[in-house]
Amino acid sequence: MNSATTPERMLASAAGSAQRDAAATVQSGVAVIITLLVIAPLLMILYQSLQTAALYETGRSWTLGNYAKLFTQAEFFGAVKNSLALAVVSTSVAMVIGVLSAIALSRIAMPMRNWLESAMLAPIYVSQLVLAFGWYVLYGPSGYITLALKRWLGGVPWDLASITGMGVLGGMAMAPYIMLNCMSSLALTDASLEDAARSTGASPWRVLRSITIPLLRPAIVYLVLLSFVGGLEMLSIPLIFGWPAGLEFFTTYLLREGLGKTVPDYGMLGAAAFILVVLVASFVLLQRKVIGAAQRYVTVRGKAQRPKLLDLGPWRWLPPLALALYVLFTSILPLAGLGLRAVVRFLTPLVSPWDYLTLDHFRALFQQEIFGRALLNSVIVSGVGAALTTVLVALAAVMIHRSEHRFGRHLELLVLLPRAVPGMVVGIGFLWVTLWTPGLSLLHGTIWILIIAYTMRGLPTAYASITPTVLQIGRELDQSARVSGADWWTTCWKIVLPIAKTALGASYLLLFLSFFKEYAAAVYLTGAGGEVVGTQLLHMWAKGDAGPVAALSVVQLAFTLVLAWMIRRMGKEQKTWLT
Amino acid sequence: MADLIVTGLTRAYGPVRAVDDVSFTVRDGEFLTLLGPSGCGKSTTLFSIAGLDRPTAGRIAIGDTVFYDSAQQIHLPPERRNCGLVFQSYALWPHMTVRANVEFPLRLRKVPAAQAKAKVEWALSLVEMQDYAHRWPHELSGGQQQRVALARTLVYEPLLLLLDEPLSNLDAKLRLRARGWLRDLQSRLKLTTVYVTHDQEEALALSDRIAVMNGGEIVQLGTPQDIYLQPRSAFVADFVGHSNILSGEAVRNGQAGILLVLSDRQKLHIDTEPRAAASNRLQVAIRPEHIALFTAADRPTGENLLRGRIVQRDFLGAHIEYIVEVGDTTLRVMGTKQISGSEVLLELPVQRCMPFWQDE
Repeated sequence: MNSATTPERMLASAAGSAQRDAAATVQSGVAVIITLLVIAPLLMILYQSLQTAALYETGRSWTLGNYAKLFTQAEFFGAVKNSLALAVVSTSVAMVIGVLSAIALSRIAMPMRNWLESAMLAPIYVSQLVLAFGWYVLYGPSGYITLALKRWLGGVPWDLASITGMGVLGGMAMAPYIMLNCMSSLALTDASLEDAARSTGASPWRVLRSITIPLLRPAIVYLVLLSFVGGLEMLSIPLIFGWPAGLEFFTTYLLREGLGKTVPDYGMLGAAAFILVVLVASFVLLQRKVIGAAQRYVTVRGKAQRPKLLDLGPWRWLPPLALALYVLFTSILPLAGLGLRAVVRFLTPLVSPWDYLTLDHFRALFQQEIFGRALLNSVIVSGVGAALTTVLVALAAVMIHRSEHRFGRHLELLVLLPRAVPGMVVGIGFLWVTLWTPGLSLLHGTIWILIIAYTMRGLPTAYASITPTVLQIGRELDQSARVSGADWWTTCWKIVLPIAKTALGASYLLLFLSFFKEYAAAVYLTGAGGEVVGTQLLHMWAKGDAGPVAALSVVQLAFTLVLAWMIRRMGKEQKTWLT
Repeated sequence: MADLIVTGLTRAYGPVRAVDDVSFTVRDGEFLTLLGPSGCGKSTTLFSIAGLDRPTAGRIAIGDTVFYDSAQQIHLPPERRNCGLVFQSYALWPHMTVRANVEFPLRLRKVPAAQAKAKVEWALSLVEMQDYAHRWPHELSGGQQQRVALARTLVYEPLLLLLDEPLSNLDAKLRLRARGWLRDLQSRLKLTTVYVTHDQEEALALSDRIAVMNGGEIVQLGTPQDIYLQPRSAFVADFVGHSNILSGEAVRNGQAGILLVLSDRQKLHIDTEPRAAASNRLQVAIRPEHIALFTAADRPTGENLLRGRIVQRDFLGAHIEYIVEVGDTTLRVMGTKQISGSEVLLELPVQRCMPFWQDE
């Protein structure tokens, strides 16, 4: 035994020191890449906002004039005011729909509960842009249902080109996220708390009012802030409903200032973008304060003891009916309408759609070289970007939670920071990074800059989906690997990441999906040859080609639904693996 | 191989010292147990030796290899210490088969394939698990997982075997068998072993020596016989052997020893020398099996008889456990005979009473 041990130990030690350097290199590499990704675009925006001329021009100097100019502009204040109003309305709507449906689905006995839950959550997987198109086709000023009602009743009770109307739509777009979070929070609360109240004599309604909802309060406060941020950085609905009506919001203001003018005032654009970041970041910070560090990762997990479901007796059909009608009118009909719009020449209640059936929109789409390119680019950007982001974040997560690296905690803050940066601002930031940094102008307008920008955008999503699994892997599993002779890097590579591989796969698909439907960050970054589906949709919409827009939306929808199905399947697999 | 020498080991978390200036030596091939209640610092000590916890001060060395030295700023990472650690939860890697688990340390050490195969066979046969090589960890029972975990540490012939309550997740019967088998394996391989447990029976049965820990310090270090028969404090007497503790005031009893006066003025003869210190508070420990119970009808004649009242009796099969109140103290007594009624006389033989002076 003695003779065998010594040479082996020496071998292990020699290999150990070389591998330790490798571990240090990997750790520093990950830290540097993430820092650059997150900080560079923001710094660039701040820098540009303090310069007298565009970054690619010479003879610039430092100034505060851009901010001064912005603050004297009435339209800027109008846009800010509208954005705040939109955020308030959409937050209220999202909270009411989200919280009520979460409570109904988790606490009331109803038929087809699983089906209704999936249907309510489905819009999460659909691009907000596509959803907005669908709503426009049905409920817009010249939408199918709007016109039909006008004909029969002489008018419609809604005006979607108003801030209230857009707020309601925005609220409906965000409601599934609120519902998902509320439901997981309800699933995590100890069911025995409610049983205890019942056994002391409280009626089911009393339990709901005095126990269930108060226990949900922290989650509600957190979600109010979340949806408020969502309302502030919303682009799709203001663009589709507000732009034609002449209503300007923070995001559309940024779009018009930067892309709508022949000579954009980059200094002022930078100032406006920076103010939006500060505004959003302050709400995200508030949210972090409210929720505390421990509850940051909301995970859905099934509890063994399910709370007893409330039986409404003769009224039991009411909640499922309400939910089914809601799903019908907010998702099924709009998406079906969009599908129909893709295969008819006109869509109006005045004529039967069957007489105008056509495949021309699809034909037009497939004949254009740009369509094939955009689709291919979208697949490449999503595929490569999701892989890069998953690998980067997996390493970062292991570094943050499974190493004594001194920057671990700081790295976590950096990884989560992009949550506070609206998509379009990310685009502006990276545009300026490529313009200003010598050599990087090669990336300008290519899909590579999109991959970089999306990677930055995807960091928080990937982190939130990988971290719970990394935390669930018992510490002894990597400790025993370390003791039996594996260094940090080998332990990550051979033990922690292989065990987390299902989570990594799920994260990859989730990122693929969100990159595939992303458009806000791409608006500023796409150039000729580097088009993606999202920007192509916006471009065609701006030209007024409703038919091809619908056709392309259908293609994107088909892609995302297949991905969403795969994600849900992996989610189920992962549960069985971990238990 | 050489002795493991731990000197002045301290682990502080802010103002709290989880391990406070602990020193001990484990001789080559010796089986040493760190025994104590939870939070006594035994696991922190073990993890410091393994390199998974970084102590605040002290020195850990085995032979010429220094694992940790606060003065020289040496802290060898765990993978370079060549220790073998078996966890309470076994920590088998769920994505590897039994064979892959056992093989992993050899692959890290770049052992040639043929040699590695032979070693895996050897390690699995040591723990009688050679037939399970192709299984996955979740297909094994707790006892089998525990044996694979042991094989995984034995396969690379570590300098030191570290065991963190490896038997505590097994059921009572299996624990007993695993205990005998672990002892047998250790003495066959002559591995220097540090074992952590809170179970006094395990410690007594397995160890060459036991270090009883409390509050981050070693309160007594000795052979199982020493610890059991000559505890150095009431804590040790209580922790190892569940002694009853009686406390009271000591008064001189002529020439022969002293008398312990209990709170209800009953007295016990104690065979010890009075001391000159300011405090005359004395604690006496006596094990449940050493107290005899009598009723008045028995007319017992022993010298240390106390009046008591049975408040609870539990039939445990081989014996009966009585809970008896004497003054304001509650004593546990193991008896074999049925006693009806509650008023009893307890005999506490002088030679079984272990006195400990209390400091203020």
